[in-house]
Amino acid sequence: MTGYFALLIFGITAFVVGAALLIINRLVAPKIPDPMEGYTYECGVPLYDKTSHLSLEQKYYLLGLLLVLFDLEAAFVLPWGAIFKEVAQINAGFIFTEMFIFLFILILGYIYAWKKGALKWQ
Amino acid sequence: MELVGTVVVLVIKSVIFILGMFLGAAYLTLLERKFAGHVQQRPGPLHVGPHGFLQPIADALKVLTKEDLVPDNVDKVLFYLASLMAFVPAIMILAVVPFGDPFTIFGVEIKPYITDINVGLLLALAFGSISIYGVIFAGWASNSKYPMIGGLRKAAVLIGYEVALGFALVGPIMMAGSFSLREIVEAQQNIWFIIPNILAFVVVIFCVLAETGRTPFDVQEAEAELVGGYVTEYTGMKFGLFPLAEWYIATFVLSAITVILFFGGWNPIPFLGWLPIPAFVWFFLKVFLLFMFFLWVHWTLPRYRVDQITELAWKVMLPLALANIFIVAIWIIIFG
Repeated sequence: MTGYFALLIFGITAFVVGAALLIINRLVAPKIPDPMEGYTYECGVPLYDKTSHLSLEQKYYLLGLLLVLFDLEAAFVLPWGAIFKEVAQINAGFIFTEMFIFLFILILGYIYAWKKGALKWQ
Repeated sequence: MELVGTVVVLVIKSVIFILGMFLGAAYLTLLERKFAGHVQQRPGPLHVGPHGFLQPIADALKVLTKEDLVPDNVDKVLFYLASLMAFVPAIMILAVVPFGDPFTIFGVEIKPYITDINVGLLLALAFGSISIYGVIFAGWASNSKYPMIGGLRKAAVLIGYEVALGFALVGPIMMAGSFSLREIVEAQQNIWFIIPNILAFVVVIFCVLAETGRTPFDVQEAEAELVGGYVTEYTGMKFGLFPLAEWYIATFVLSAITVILFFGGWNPIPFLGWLPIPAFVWFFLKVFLLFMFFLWVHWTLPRYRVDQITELAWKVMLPLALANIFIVAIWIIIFG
């Protein structure tokens, strides 16, 4: 547990240092109000849309779904990788075919997604 | 009482690591600007201090004393949180990077790392992914078109490279049989993992460039089309934390992890082990060379389009990473 405790302490310290930098900036920096100061950036013309929180076509919806799928697969492959060397000395054929049947099914799905055009930026 | 002692020691060690990283990152900015200058045949920073040597300190003071502007229609909490979300996870990766074996000075054992836990590599991967939230929060909270597009582009690039990176890391893990970065280094005393893992190394190089937003993949700020990308509305230190975290801290720390995974960490370069050079010098030398490689790529190559980058991740990097698992499995079965 000491390992995770050290990680927690490090995280809190990093957060405090980051927050301290932002607060120091707020205390030290001059404040010179300007009428246009709070205006959202636009290239030299009046702002057309007051907000950008509107519906927007993002062109990678299917890629986002595939990410969930493939990241889950990676979660299965990583522990297999960690014990591969140990088990390979006892029964190499078993651990090899086991994972490659799994990866083969994954690759079939990948080829299907590719053929259906899901990997394209559409 | 014992607990208080542990906490005090850990806080002091954390502060030393963070301040060291800050100072290191500050001088990496000078290094990068000098290097960029020479690539583009100009001298780079020259006037503050001898040959521009004090430029990073001048930059830090400038960033700290700039007015802290918050535009009217931003989401104020997320706007500030985005800076911290970019900075804290990037520096958290440092906690799992070991800089050498434990050593003893004046009878006190010093461990040159914050923590050595058995899932170190997974934690590094996780913090690398979390640091992306900073960019996406910044894009959303700014409530302005350019940051919004920048943040969404970064998300698109990252969901591609995240997958390839996850599969590429399987190779070194299979060779070492552990997720602990220290055990991975110890497993490379005879042969570096670059030998059967060359494909994974190529994938990891691309992923580090994409994750840190360096030039062939810097679509999130593409200054020619998006003004400043996700930092368009930021000023002062809120702005300063973004490049510090992404370009310097993240690049340095991910270079260190790449060196640990593929180039033997603090093991000496083959056939030069007889030289009287301490282990951490070897380590920093390798990290420095890899960092300079990233700078070299950054300042010589033009930028790709965002659709090209994403399709590269899914159609080239992912098959390469899967092929690497196959090659390494056969290598281990044949050579043990």
